[in-house]
Amino acid sequence: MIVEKTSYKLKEWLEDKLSTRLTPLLDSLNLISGFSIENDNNEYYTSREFLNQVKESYKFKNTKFLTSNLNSKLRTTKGLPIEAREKFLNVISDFIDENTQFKKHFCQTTGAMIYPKNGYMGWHNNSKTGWRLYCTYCAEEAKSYFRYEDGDGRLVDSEERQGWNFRLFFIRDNLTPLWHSIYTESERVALGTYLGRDLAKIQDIIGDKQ
Amino acid sequence: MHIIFPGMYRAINTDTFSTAESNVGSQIKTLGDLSQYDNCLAVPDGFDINSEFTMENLQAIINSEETPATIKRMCTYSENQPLIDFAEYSSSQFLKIFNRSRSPYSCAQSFHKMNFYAPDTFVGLEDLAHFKNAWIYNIVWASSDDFDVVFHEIDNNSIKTVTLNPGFNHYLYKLPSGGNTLYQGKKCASYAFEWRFVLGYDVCYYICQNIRGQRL
Repeated sequence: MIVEKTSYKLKEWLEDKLSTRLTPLLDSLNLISGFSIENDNNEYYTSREFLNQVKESYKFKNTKFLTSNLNSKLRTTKGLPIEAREKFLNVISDFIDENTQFKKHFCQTTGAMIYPKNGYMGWHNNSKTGWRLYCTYCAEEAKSYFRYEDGDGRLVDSEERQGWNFRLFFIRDNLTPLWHSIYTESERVALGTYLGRDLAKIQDIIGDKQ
Repeated sequence: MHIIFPGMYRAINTDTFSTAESNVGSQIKTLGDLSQYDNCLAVPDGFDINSEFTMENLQAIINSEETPATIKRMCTYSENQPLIDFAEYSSSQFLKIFNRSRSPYSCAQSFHKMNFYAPDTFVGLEDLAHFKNAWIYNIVWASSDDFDVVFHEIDNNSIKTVTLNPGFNHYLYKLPSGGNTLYQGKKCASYAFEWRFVLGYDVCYYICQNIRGQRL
């Protein structure tokens, strides 16, 4: 199986549909609370220089930057309460069940967290191989991006706007990681959902590359 | 007192499993061409699977301050109904034996979901630290004679590779306690299914009397 190292949008009309469902839930949970940290060169953790350090360390089985699940140890996030995770998963997995060939019960939350203003997550890959639907909410219009390294070794910024942002990408096995990182100057909610491996099952929702 | 070396042991008295093996074997035939279930990403150009099983690599793992990621290339079948059904059926066939109160295997405590291997799938050297001190019983059905179990024999300080036979294979091992480790991995060049059972923690006498055969 060959899967490109890239990120895709949701089809536009589906973005509207999912936003409409997630917004009331987000509002009811009161998750946006002015969470902020100092900006002490925080964007460094999404830089090429840091990526090279992470790669070198990973190559030699060093665990300075990555956990055994290839999550980043360099992060400023806080996990969402379990109740919030479950409610979001319920909405997202209903959406997946209705619009793709993946089943609701296969969907799993792989991350549900809040980033502070000036927050980041350093370069990492994650571990569960397969498609992710990644839903993020930026509280304000500010610099915020998902940065990944494509198949040609270029760094690509998938920028985010105020409100909901959606993308689909494939987490690869750790032979050929999809290295990615996040930086945001807006308080930001991030919800990662594992869908499965089969590209054919999400053909109806997959939009343009971003 | 039985001496237990850090490594793999052949299982004896596997006739107990012959009916289950026959039933599971028949089901494997009904799955058809197993290549249709291979959903792994392509192996990157120039990647050498064997490089994951070297002493140099093992030393890097040992030297790391925490547990590093296990390098692996594996299929999943959570979206594939025939394999989901097969996993359930085959596991239940074997568990019947492990769950018999009068069976030598009745000490089994837990079971791990079936693994499916396709060509060039592998699990790099890893330490199953969460099962320290437990005996593990493995059953592997291999389509060909190219499924390798690779492990570190601390007493010989070497990486040992045991190639399983086509058909069903049974082997077991004890994960060391304390700060000791038994690093192990697997690689497959064709197709295989694997079932793993945790036999128990304080059952050495029982296992050495009834199940454990020669060191592989």
